[in-house]
Amino acid sequence: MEIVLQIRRFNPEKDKKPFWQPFRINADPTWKMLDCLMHIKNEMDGTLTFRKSCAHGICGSDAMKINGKSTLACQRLVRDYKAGKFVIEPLPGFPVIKDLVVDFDCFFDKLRKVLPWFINDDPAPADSERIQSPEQAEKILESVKCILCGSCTSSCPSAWMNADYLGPAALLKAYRFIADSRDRAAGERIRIVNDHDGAWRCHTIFNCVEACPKEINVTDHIARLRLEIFSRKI
Amino acid sequence: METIVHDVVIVGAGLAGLGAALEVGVDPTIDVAVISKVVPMRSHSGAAQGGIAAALGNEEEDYVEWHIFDTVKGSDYLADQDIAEFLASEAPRAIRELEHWGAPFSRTSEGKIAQRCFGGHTSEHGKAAVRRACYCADRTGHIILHTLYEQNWRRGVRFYSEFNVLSLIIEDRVCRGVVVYETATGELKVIRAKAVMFATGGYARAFHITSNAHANTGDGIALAYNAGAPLEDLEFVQFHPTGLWKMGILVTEGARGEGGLLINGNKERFMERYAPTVKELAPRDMVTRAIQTEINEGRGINGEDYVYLDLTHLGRAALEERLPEITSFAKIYMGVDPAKDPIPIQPTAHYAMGGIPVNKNCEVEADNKGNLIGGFYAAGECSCVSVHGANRLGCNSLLDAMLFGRRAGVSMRNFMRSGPALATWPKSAEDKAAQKVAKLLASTGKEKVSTLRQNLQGEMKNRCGIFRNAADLKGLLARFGEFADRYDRIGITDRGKIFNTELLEAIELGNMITYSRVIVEGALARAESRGAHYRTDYPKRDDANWMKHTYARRGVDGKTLLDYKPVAVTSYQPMERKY
Amino acid sequence: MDGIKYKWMAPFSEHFRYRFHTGMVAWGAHRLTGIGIVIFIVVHIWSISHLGSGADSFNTVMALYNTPLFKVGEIILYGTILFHALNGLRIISVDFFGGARYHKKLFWGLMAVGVILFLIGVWTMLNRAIPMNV
Repeated sequence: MEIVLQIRRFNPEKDKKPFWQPFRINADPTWKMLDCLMHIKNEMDGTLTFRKSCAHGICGSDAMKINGKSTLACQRLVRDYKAGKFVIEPLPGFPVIKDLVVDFDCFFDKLRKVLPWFINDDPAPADSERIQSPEQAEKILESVKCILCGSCTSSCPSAWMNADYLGPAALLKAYRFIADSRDRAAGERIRIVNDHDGAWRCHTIFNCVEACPKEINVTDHIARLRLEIFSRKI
Repeated sequence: METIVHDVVIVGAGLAGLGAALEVGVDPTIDVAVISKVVPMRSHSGAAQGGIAAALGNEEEDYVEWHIFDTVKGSDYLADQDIAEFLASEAPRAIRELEHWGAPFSRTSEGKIAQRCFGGHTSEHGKAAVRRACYCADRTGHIILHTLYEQNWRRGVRFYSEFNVLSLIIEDRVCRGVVVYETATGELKVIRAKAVMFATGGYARAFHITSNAHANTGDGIALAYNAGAPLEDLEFVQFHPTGLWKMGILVTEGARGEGGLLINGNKERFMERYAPTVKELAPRDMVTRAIQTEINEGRGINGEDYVYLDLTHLGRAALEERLPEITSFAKIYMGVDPAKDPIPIQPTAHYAMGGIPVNKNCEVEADNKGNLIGGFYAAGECSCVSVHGANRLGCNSLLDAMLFGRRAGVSMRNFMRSGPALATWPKSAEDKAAQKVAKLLASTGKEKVSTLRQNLQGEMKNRCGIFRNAADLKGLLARFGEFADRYDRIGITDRGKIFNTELLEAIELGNMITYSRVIVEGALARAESRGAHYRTDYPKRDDANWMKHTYARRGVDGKTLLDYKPVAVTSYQPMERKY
Repeated sequence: MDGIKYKWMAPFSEHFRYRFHTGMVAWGAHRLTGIGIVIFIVVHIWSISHLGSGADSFNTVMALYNTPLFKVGEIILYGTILFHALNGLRIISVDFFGGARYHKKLFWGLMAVGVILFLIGVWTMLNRAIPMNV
């Protein structure tokens, strides 16, 4: 079927500002949006630039805004869009490097702030793993799904308005470690997220939940994070 | 061109590269840096689903010796048995350390790491399937990758993210460093180091239907080959039995481990014929050939080129808990709900058993006689130790990558302790890479990268795929001259410096052509069937003549020179592989 | 952020224009109704403060409230407070009672309750407003 994709282009070496470019292609309804982009790059305009790798929703490289929503281009098929309209832009809120490629430095800096690594410097048991019950493992099961694609933070109006807001992804990561029964740095992380630009900047807008390609309920985790802060501070 | 110097440079930030960086980093005086062509947590290790094998015995009785045997038998007796022994015996400790670093494995009711059945892993040398695969739902690779990356992040390891390596410089059998291309700026840089390690992953993007990421273009394998290193057993390409029909997206073996069934067009559970004991949990090469045979003989669904993977009897709860990723793949890409309907699947090019030959310490071999290339290491899928021989068992790859990655790190740490000097940089060694980039940036040829790439991928799938024969392979080999000519006539339109992915794709295509040729040459020469390499004109395994590793080296005129090296046999004499 | 002059323009600008979801609509409406209620409280305090100036001045202000414009305003005010209160309950549920898991159902359920309460309230208000016998 013939479809038209409106793509937001920007080449810093040539263009003063971003602009829209339409591409008319013959696409199969089962094509992913990523396939459409590759078709355009291969057959029509080799300068169209975007990140891609696994092409099945696990690496998080091709996060972009499609029809007004942050998502992964490899997880959206042509047939998912009944209206037949296709508007493709880079993730909102991140500086654009070129076309659909954005700069993730700020995103990773925010993540770094919550100490996004396992901390338990007690001597580990010699011949065994640390014991963790299935219920305790279940507590972090959803938050470990996160592939750091940036869809959530890029979709959050609070993040757009407040440059210092940690953002959904960082808060989710903070929760992942705070709730891990084996980790020992919960107190430190609670102190970090208990900040007006931390967990309290979330206004339960729920855009992150809509955007997350792994279907993680991020707002729920931020709410749980806030309850953790309450229960430890009182 | 800017020159940067580090003590140790690791190319690749998957499990092997990150494991090595952690081990090297144990000594804070060593200046280590990791180069990755993708942002590190986007590495393809993260796509691994089913599990990582270790004889922990958390769910049922299991022993290291059984794991060794399964690995050797699964490899169709091509694995070096001392290496398999090392892998299986180090596995329990390695997994537990991974857990100590915070990896969030699924748990048994006693709170230990949960384990599931997986293809080819058996108790008592093949009596029944055994639960050896440690897992986290069906995203095991993802959690391990993130755990290792987080630990590196904690330590503040230096990452060169989105840098492609264009050249590996080896002179007089000593590795000198690499030439890299910084994607964000289009600048080339020289990175010199006392030790260079390749952990660049696999090459299955050279095949039309593949589970691999677009990034898996075997760059390290091609670069090492071009720099004079040999390549070992490249013809052994694993085709994973279950990929989504037409898309190649991986459906983990864990689905069969949880009880999934393979059904053909006659509604028959055909694996009962091919592997009476373990059925769907036979090693991958056997299941793949079984599926392809059913398809070739017209017993695919509706006579088409796919069969069904039936998970409907598992129930929605079990699917949501243990196979959530593949459940979502089936829904998103095929519009199929695995709880209600079977999933259409076909074999997909998946894994490179062969690669850059290394010894037990992950030091790269210069030839098949045990000589080494100084200061050059390799681990993970891009290397060949050889632990997987002619066919890899599921869950042994995550183990191989992490374990040997760490071992390479230890080797490099020890090497640094011996106080090596920084090898000199050969004059103008960086010119070749610069010229290649300049040529492509100025190219006006009519040949499109995508067209040539698609041609190559189609040919590799059709003529060097699951079932091979001399005629197909010879015909395909003859085309490589044409591929090389067409590659010279490639024209790209993006002349920019910033994020020029068209240029990078052209360079990657060159790498694909390079190693594909070696795969075909090795497959043509090997007149037997072993593991994943199956010749319809030589359908039997020939231990007398062919129980040996292929060593391919680039000849002076660009031809492939093949040589061989015997397999290291310690405990197990080759037997017929029946399951 | 490129392409927009002020940050508050973000959701509306060409580049940022983000698809509205239930959660975003609820959030935006909660803010708007909040501002509306604040304006009402200011006007209310201003009008009640006339009590301090004697019965005549107070009655004059109250007479204003009997005009049709203000009667409509009262209805709108009622709807505003209803929305803000019910959505507020939803937000409390999200914060303390795991409401995030089913926030959309919660929203539409509470809105349904709100519509019913609104209709009852408006009917009551109109009945009182229209004099039965002059």
